Amino acid sequence: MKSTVSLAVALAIAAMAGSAYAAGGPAVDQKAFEENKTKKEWMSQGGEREEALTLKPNAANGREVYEVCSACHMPEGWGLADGTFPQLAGQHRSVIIKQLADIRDGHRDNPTMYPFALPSEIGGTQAIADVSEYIAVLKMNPDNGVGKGDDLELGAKLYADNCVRCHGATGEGDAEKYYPRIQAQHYEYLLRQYRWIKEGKRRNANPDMVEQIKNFTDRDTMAVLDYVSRLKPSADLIAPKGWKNPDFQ
Amino acid sequence: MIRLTLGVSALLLGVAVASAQTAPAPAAPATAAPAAAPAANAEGKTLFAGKTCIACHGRGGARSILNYPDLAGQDAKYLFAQMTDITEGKRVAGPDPRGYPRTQGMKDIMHLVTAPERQAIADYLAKEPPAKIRPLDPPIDDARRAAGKEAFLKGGCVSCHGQEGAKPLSSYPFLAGQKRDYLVLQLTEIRDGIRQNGRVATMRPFAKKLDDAKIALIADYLSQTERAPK
Ligand code: HEC
Ligand code: HEC
Ligand code: HEC
Ligand code: HEC
Repeated sequence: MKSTVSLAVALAIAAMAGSAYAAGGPAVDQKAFEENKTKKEWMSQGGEREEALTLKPNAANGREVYEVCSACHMPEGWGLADGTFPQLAGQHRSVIIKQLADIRDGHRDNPTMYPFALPSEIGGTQAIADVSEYIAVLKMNPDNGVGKGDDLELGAKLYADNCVRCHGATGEGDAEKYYPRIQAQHYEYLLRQYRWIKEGKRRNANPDMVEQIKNFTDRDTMAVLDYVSRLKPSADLIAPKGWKNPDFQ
Repeated sequence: MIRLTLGVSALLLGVAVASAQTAPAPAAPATAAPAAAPAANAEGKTLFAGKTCIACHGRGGARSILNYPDLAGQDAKYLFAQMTDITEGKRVAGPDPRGYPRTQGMKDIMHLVTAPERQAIADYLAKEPPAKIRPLDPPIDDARRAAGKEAFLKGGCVSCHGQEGAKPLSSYPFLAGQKRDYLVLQLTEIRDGIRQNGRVATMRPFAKKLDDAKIALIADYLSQTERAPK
């Protein structure tokens, strides 16, 4: 309840300062943002990513920041099975930090979410450090959206040949290298991101991955992602069916 | 169709109310009618919170972020029409500071609500108390307030939006108490032909007579004008 009130106050204060935002938005350098929007860069230099990783996360603030995220990513961090919002729960903290930094400084487009990545809405680098910790330890969706299940043999083979070296044997990713966990992610979200990575629309994609998948047909794409969506994280990472996040009840 | 569990219980409640109305009850039907409204409102409220609207437009549609509009207490038909126009790409907007069209973020989530759900949200929002006035910095002085009021009168705005922008024709938008920066953006983009949806054409001739300074003046005035709760 306390956090609810302070968030509301923060939003109200942010809103009162309305004219500042119309003029360009504070804190994130508008010029740098515009420059970044023209770039295709996987590992940008000089952003908030590395700094956020060195900061000690504050759990209470992480929860407070997450309240606004929960309107889209759901209180449990499970996203939506139709893929509109990705599951965030259980993602590596380093990956969440990287994606937030990229969205906020213009390396990754996200018109729906960018206001909620702004320092004026959620706070500075420390807020990224805090909320990423909160998300990373949330237990994952036991019931994520999957594909049709009609081409899984091809999917398994393609996965073994093309993805394991980065995303790992079961899609667990690699925190050190910023390789995302993709197991048990919603199929529709995987499909959208994968296509955007292939077409160059997701500008912060990994160039080696782009190279690896450039000859994939539509059938290959659907088969491998259907397979990925069905890969299971280790049992201790998954929430019981029907779990509700008590922080937001 | 109604995906949220709470939405379903609201629906069930609606059914219960409906059957109460048909039952040959000694209770006056006058009590049954208002009881139906809270049921529909509860559904609208749940949808508003559960389908992400609340992230951008704030609690009760009265605490919107950045230069996004407050929706609380707005005309229900107007709200519904705007949702449809934004969803279908008929209402467009200029770029936000990040270069995305301002309607894009909302357009990308509107597939989450069906037409009846949008209607329920519109009905809910229309009954919410309007947002509190957001003071300007520096605050508006009496001279500027009077000048704004006069510009609003002389501009012919009253004929459609009513005295002080607070008594619009049915299905036209309330303007009193709306956020200043949002009003500036809409007036500018209606004038410049960027926003063309719905009945904007009827208003365009009036907007075309306004220069940027007049727009700022009118927006200052309207944003600081209390809208009495209906
Ligand atoms: C208004 C809705 C909305 C809100 C609020 C929101 N997000 Fe998002 N978020 C999205 C959407 C939509 C995407 C997927 C965009 C895409 O498809 O590229 C996304 C993607 C992400 C991603 C990338 C995930 C991945 O797998 O690459 C992260 C991380 C993220 N959000 C974190 C947050 C955090 C933290 C907050 C709160 C501070 C937040 N979001 C608030 C809509 C939202
Ligand atoms: C060379 C390493 C590499 C290979 C090989 C690779 N990926 Fe990736 N993949 C990445 C990295 C790194 C990212 C995150 C990019 C970023 O930082 O935005 C990523 C992102 C993704 C995403 C988006 C995840 C999200 O949460 O938004 C999907 C889906 C994906 N990869 C699927 C695959 C599949 C399927 C294959 C095999 C066909 C594959 N990748 C092969 C490195 C790789
Ligand atoms: C990502 C942010 C975002 C989300 C989520 C969002 N909106 Fe909006 N909405 C906006 C913006 C920005 C505008 C104003 C666009 C402009 O400036 O022209 C707007 C405008 C509107 C309007 C028109 C208001 C007027 O006075 O003309 C209505 C009605 C509306 N939204 C309803 C909703 C509903 C209902 C939902 C949830 C189903 C929703 N919005 C979700 C950002 C959002
Ligand atoms: C002939 C009727 C008419 C007149 C006169 C008129 N308007 Fe409007 N106005 C409308 C209508 C109708 C809309 C909604 C358009 C739509 O259907 O989307 C509107 C919309 C607006 C909006 C956007 C509201 C929102 O929530 O997005 C603003 C601001 C506005 N008018 C201001 C003015 C001002 C200031 C004047 C005087 C200079 C004026 N209008 C004169 C009919 C009128």
